[in-house]
Amino acid sequence: MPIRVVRVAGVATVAVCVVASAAYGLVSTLPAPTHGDRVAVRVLDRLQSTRGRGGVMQIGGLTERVSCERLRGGRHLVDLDDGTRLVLSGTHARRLGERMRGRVLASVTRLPSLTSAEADLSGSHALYATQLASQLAHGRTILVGSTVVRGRPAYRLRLTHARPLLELLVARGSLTPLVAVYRSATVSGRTVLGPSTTPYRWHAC
Amino acid sequence: MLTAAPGPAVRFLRFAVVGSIGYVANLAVFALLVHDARLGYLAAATVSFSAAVALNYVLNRAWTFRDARGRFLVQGARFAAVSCAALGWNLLVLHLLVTAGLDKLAAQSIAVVAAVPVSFAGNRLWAFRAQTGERAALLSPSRAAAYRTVALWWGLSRALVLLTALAVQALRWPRAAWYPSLVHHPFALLGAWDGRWYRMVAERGYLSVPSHQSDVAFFPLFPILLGGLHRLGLSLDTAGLLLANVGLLVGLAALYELVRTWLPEQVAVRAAVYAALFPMGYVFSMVYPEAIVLAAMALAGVLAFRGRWWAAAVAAALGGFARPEAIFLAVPLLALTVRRWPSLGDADRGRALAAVGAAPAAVAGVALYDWHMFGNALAFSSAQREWGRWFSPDGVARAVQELARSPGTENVWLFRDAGFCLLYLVLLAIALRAGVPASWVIAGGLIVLLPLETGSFTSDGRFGLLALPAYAGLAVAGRRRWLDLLVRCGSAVLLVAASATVLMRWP
Repeated sequence: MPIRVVRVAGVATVAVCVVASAAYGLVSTLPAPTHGDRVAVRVLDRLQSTRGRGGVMQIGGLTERVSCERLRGGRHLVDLDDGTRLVLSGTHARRLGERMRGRVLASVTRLPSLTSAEADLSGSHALYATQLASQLAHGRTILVGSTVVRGRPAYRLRLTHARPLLELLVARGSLTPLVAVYRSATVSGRTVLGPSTTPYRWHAC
Repeated sequence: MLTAAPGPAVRFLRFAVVGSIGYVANLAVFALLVHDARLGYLAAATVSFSAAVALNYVLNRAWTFRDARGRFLVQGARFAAVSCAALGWNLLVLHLLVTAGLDKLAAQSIAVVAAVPVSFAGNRLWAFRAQTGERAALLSPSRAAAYRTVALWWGLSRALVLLTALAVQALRWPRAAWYPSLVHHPFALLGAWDGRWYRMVAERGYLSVPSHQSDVAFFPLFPILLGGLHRLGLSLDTAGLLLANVGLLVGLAALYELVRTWLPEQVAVRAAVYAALFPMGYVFSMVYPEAIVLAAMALAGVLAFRGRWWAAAVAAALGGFARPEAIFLAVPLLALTVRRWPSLGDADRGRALAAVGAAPAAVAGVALYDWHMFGNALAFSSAQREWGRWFSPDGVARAVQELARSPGTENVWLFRDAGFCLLYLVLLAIALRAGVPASWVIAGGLIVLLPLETGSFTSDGRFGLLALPAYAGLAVAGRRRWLDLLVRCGSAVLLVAASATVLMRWP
């Protein structure tokens, strides 16, 4: 009797193990994520576990400091040296009443894509994370090459699908965001990003 | 005239000899087509494989299995199916061995040998199985008429869904702005929502993205099949639509057979017809795995009922590999096993238990993969959190609260899902009262109710499509002529309406 029970249980157990192994084997036949996808996921993890504090923005031939701080409700306030203030909510940017002081980007203020350029170059890790996650969710190619930033080897990650183009350059080893690059038909710019900070710094974004 | 049956060893030897001839023929035809006819290598491989299968069939029928000859076309179709399955097994073993670092030629040599027993067993046990009374009765006149009816309603219902999708896309209704990204395919509407994720898994595999919606939430069978058809030259959209719609035809036939084991013939036919017309059934034509899972679950039930436990195990495993809801098949299969236990031999007892465990084992295989790749065996479930779903003891309360808050918001569509949830429960109760086994009704109830534990009614209308006894309940309800007419017409109208609004709310 026990031998019969063992036989029955044995057949069932072996069959169940074969099914589970076959399932495992079959899933393994799906394409493996590319190196670029894996880098993008690691960068996303990095962006979500750190915050940015702005940097030095070059846009329309001018250079100015940009800082970024967190507001309530998941929004961020972007402050430029020329008095421009933007509120970022997700991937939407809204320009606040401009306090005109110091240098004004007179030549470019009227360009329609300026607000979007300034937002994208604000150094907000939350914004970059949202855009990167969206690219991943659409299965797009993100890692578009490598480059060197101030002597450091870096990856070039594309955060937008079409124009305007936004690229984030991250250090190859630490995946620290180094530079954000923006290009549209009318505006081009880049921000050399300041050092990242921990997510516990409420004034960073 | 009776023909003496050869012994197992002789038969296997003959099979191997025929297989070798087929192998040589395959290569010869391939070489002819590629070098002389200048055909593309994929097309040439398809033709040479088909030619080799045809030759093998004729030789095996005339020599290896001459004592078990049945109807030429039926056995031929089965032989072709077994050959395709063996080819799939061959490719899987080849892939695993190459991935493990073996030389490609050496890996193929092993893979070809590994496929021979699979092919032999499939042909011996199925394609060239001896005729019995049950098999002879397989296509009795009444059954043939039932199949014709089911096929007719499948065609009508799919025509309604496909034409509606086509018309809606052509009219750019309800919001023109949604359409630019969809116009790449005349039926692109049916590839929306989860279809995008399945296509993405087929293209690039799984990529777990922490704290964001990611594709690990979608089970692998459907994307694997999509990828396979894509490699044969079909676009992923077309492959998805083909799989879903053909899967539904198989599913309806299997549902008819399953309901036939519970209730009278006419009710079984009606159940399959109502399933074809069911308002949420537009999902069966989308790039979603629901139609395939419906087929797998119903087939598992039918095959288990007929005592073909291995085949039931395969069907259940396929179901579990395509959608996690299929694990609830374990309930009716276990109940059937328990009921038949005293009359089963030891071998059948083992097989029956294997069938019970097959769907959960397939889900476990996916979990094992998730654990190995992403460090989280429940990654497929955890990913649902980013869609606002997670299991918790207060899930049902959260679902009700969400429903209560939804009037006046875009979430008012929740009432559609809540309405279907209620309808499924009523239909399951009718089915139980009509004599459908309680184990099947319990499985259906779990499929409908368990998602509410994740805190939302969202998509319950779609999940409930796999509660098979609900169709039996509807068929019982439609036993009067005027009710039957009402259900058919009402369902058809609602099916068109649901198909037309697919972009307004995900199923």
